[in-house]
Amino acid sequence: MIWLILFLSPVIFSLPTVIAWTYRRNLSISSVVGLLISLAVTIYLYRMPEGFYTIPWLPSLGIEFRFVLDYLSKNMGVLTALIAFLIGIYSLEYMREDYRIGWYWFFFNLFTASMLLVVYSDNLLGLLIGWEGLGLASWALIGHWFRDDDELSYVGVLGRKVGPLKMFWSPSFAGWRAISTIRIGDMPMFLGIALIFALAGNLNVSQIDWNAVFTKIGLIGTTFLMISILMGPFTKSAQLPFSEWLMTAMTGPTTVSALLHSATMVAAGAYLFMRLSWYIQPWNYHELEPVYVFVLFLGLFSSLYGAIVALGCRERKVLLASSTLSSLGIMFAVTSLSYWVGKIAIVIAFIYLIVHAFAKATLFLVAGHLIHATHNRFCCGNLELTKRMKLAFLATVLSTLCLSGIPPFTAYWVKSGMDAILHEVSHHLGQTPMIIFVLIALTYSAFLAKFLSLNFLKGERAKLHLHGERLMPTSYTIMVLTLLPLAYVLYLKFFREGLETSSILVGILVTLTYVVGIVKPTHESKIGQALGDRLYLMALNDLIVPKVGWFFALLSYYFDRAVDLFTHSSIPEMFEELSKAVRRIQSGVLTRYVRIVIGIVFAIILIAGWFEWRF
Amino acid sequence: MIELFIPVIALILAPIFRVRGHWITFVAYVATSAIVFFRIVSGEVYYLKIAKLPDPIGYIYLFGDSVSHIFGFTIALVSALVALYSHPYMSHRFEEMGLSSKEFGRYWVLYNSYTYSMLLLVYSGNLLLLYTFLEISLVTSFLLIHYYGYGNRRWVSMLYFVWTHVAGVLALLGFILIGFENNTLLIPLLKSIPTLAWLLVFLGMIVKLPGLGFHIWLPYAHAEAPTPVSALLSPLTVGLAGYILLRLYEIDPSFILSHRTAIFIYGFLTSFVAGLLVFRQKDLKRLLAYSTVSQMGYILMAICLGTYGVFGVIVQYVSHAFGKAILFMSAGSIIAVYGLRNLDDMGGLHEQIPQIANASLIGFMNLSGVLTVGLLGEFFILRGVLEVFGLGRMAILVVLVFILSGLYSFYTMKNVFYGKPKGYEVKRVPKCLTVPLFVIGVLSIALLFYADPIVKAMMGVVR
Amino acid sequence: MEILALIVLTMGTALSLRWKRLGVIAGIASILLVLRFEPLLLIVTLIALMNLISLDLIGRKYGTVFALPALMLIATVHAFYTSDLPSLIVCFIVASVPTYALVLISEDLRTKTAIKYVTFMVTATILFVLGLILIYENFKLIGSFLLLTGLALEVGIAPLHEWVPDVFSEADPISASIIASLAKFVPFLIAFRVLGGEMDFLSLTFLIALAVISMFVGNIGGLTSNEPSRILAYSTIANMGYVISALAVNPLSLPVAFAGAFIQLLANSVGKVGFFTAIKGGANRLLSFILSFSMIGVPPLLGFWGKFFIATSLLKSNLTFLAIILVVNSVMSVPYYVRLARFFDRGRSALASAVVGVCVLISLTIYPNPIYYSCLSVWR
Repeated sequence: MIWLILFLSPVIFSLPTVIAWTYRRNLSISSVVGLLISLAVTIYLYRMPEGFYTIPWLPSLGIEFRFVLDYLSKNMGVLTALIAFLIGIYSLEYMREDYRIGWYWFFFNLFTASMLLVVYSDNLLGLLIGWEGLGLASWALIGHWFRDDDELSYVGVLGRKVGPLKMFWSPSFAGWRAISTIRIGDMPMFLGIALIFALAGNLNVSQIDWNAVFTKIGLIGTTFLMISILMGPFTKSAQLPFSEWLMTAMTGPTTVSALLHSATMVAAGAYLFMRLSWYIQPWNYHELEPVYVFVLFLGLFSSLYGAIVALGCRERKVLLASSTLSSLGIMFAVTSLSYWVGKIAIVIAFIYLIVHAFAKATLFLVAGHLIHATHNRFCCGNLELTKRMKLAFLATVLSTLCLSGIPPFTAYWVKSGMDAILHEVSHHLGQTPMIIFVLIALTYSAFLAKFLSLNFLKGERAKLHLHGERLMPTSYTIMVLTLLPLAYVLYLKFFREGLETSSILVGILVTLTYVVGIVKPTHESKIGQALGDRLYLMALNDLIVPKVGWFFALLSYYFDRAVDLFTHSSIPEMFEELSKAVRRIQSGVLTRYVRIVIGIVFAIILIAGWFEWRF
Repeated sequence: MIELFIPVIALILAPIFRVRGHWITFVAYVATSAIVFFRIVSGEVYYLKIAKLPDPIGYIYLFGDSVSHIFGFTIALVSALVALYSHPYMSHRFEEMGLSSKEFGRYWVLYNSYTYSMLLLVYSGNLLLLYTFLEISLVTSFLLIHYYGYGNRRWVSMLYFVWTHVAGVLALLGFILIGFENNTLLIPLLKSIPTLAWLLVFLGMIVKLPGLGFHIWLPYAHAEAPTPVSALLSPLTVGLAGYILLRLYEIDPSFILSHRTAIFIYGFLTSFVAGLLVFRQKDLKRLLAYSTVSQMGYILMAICLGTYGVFGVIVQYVSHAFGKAILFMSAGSIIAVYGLRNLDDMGGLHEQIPQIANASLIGFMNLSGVLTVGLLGEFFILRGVLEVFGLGRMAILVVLVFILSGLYSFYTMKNVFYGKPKGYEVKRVPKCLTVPLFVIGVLSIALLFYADPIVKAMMGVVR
Repeated sequence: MEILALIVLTMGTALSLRWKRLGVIAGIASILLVLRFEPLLLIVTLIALMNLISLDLIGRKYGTVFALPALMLIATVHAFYTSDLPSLIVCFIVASVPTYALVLISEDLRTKTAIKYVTFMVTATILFVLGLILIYENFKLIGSFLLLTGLALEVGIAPLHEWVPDVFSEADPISASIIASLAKFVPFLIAFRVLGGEMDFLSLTFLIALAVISMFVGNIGGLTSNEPSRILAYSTIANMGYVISALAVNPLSLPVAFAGAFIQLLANSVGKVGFFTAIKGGANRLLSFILSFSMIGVPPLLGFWGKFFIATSLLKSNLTFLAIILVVNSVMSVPYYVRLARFFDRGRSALASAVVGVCVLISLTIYPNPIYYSCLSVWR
């Protein structure tokens, strides 16, 4: 029952908005109430003992909705519901003038509900429902401004082209890009789930006998299984080469980006990987080594890619999007370290997820407020703006400090933890991961500083359109303030690692790059341009894959035409000709008929007679 | 048993009431589907003897088991809602053709005999009776296209008749051979099916289903039929070929088992090529027709996949029926309201007709198995392919097809409903053109969460 | 009974020179006199009645013509109950000769057509009777060849079908309807009685060749024909092909084949009567569609049962290829039957509508048991 309230209340409470928004626009509040109820339920669940709860679904197949309460889901649930609720409050103001409020709230709340389902579900099929819900809702929200008529809703510079590539994306196109990319990952994941069901006869992550599964299919099978399942998280969390949709997802309302990039959707991928690793306990299985090494390097490279691309980005939201990509890469990489160091890696990655969620949501909400105020998607704003929007400035400073890992702010402690386990792993994998990781950390703080500097300190002068917003600053201020107690908690947890020399050294370096980023935020160069164009990875999405697809479609088309012509043109024509031939006999002249008939009759009689009397 | 005779009331009364016939039809079929749903839950099996015909035909009788109930439920439900939808749509169509509303008399006769014959088809206990209903449904739908279709409706209806009649007679020959082998045509008494008979029936059914190469009639027929008829043809009728294959498979799977790989690959090609062709269509109804071919490829694949494949066939039929009914009806609504069929004239239609856009979304969710009962269909097919072919190339083919149908679904959504609005004026859409769509949509979502009766019923049959 | 019917008929016909109505009444009376409660014959009788009544549509002054269908019916009924050679021959001739007169009475007829028809019929009759006698004299092979040739000429089986399209399109539709319906029963009955199940390989080959050629010529010829009466002519050729193919079965399945053949003949007759009357007097579109569907063989209409039983008997005799050709042909016929149904819109005369209505009713026989078992009993 409590579960039904948890999942259904956001959806049901959004229905009044869906039905009546055209004439009662203040109904949006009811949707936020739904989110609040979910938040209350998650907090209630947080206080419940750990364990499993089931709701029957398909008892004849042994599949049920089974929910798990453990360290991961309890925290993640509260995080999701809290962030969704805060963003919901922000949206009340941000989306007030929108032309599709019903749609927005329904999918916003569906988004939250799906994420909660993913978070709490122990059954993989139940999880998949939430997973598909996430994909659908993200599609709906990314393409929310379907009219494609507002320059503010695009990504990229309008009309810009590089070679055959169009470098700007409309909301409706971005929506399709998102769902098509996600689909490519979801179906292999579905296959993986079916495979687990076939092998284990059970879909509850915590109950599956992984040992039996892995031994049954051997090394290659295990690799196949894990990769096909992880295709889902990879696409959802936009790891290379599926990163493009995340960048163009910025066409959605900023609130959506905030939700998408903090606690839901992209986090779902990393979260699922953590949850699986939590129960599979990869440190017990040698079969998993290739997979985990692969994920480690994929995560690190995606992260590096995201970080350097963010350096070149000039759009506020795209910059933040690639920084999200970078963070997600770190989460994947650190989680995969659990193969060598055990559960602690998952815990660290998960804590990083929480820190990142709050900080990134704050940054997005600030960015949204800035876009609202400046009517410009690109970074701009100077000290004058800072004066008018003090809260936004403070929130940005605090969240960038916390996120980039400057001692003694929040992320520093988490990153120290990461340093420690990476150090431990260097016995197995050498120093490469460590080096890449430090590079990422430095770049990360640099572009965050750039974001701060270009928007509040050294950017171009921007024209301001302030309308006395209240709810928006309130919500991001609350959000950013949660980071401070979090910093204290983490200090208690990681102070030993944080006081190691190597950690402090990295911390100092990070601080230095941060300062450099603030002082000199821009540097024009060819490389910067290429970075800003995301190293032209969109060629894969927009050029190569569609070209291949259209080629096959063309082949199919020719085949179709050929069959069509043959059956609907050649065959009827042939019959027509035959028919005319048959009818040509009918000349109407008696003598000719008689000749034919007599000829045939005589032939018959001759043949018959010959056979009759021959024997 | 009673539920099979409720539609007779509609068959008799609806033509008398002419314009108001849709309510009677609707109520009758809703009652039927509700009762049938209870039968699914209770798992009831029943027989009703009608007559005895000379050997090898044997008894003609109606026979209901779980499989019939599931198919019957789908048919009755879709028929009911399409009837409701028919009223505004056909009024529009008659007006367009210059016919008076008296024409509804004829329309309801044909409509009700068409839907009723499909309903009885799945309850036929004798292969000859089954064939009879197959042909009646063919003839009535042929007449509906012939009278009220679009474009070159005479030619198209002829095309449809000839192709599906080929399918029918090939199946008939197969049935007769089965009759000789078993000295009866009673489905529950059949023991074995000779290879030649299987081959004939199978050939017939892949013309009807249709398989790749034989699919060529379907886009014409489904696109040019008046939309309520498309909304029955495509969801219900073609899938019945799957039903027939399923029935024979239950009796004697030898043919399918021995040609498993070939049929599977053929099903894949059907699904994949038709899926690609969807991207190239410019006419919305034709596009939907190609997607039907693609979805029927699923059924062809699923039939090769053992027990779970059988589940897959059934669930896929249900989910495709729901989804495609919604989609054809929404395409029809666009025709009725704006007279648009060509994709080039569309784009941004969500601006003008958001209700229809949202309904279509549910329809496409059904096709791509997102959050609807289609999810279970895909699950069973995947489960089946792993069981039969193991982990490997075949499984990847299935995944490929599933990805493709998701892609074309949302690609079409984008092209039709999103993007820059074209500036058509906003018109009022009659309630009957939208409400049935949402009813089916909500049901297809609800069935995902309340699928256990269906799964249980299927388990009972397979055992 | 038949004698009494003949007397009534003669009297009535003689008097009908003065009173036209009397001819009709006498015809009907004599038809009713030979009525037998055997479903197969009942329907044949019904067809004869419709033939007779529809003759009224021609609008000739004399009542004599009304005797002709009655005479043919009497011969047909008699043929079902007799088996000695002379009677059969007499029946055959009596059932065929009245058609000559029927062709002659047609309106605005070019005498050429009548000559054509008569020429063919006379040849056919001679060959048929000769064949019959030869078979009885135990020259089995040549006898059956001649018989089949005569049959082919008589009923119009390709490649000896040349007269059919011409006569059907040029004679009056009502006359054509009688030629296409009532005149077909006796020749096939005799052929079944004499040849059924007793043919050697060679004549079987000949028979199958005739059947296949006839089906294809009929259906292909019908595809591009434009006049309804020509379409009907080709459809008759095709139907005769279906019927004769039933002769090819082995003795074991002969009763089924016989039933199939005669149900097919009934369906064909009903369809032809309906359509020809419709040409003359118009018909409702939906009704003509039902007739078309019956001719195509859509279950559960009469035309389906005929094809079904023929196909069953063929498959039982291991003639699978012939069965496949048969059903393929039934598919090929779809376009022209549909085109045919489209020629008609609504009935113009009450009589014609009534006749078409009865034909549709008979075509709607969805329960074949009575006819089927009656065919079996007649066969025994």
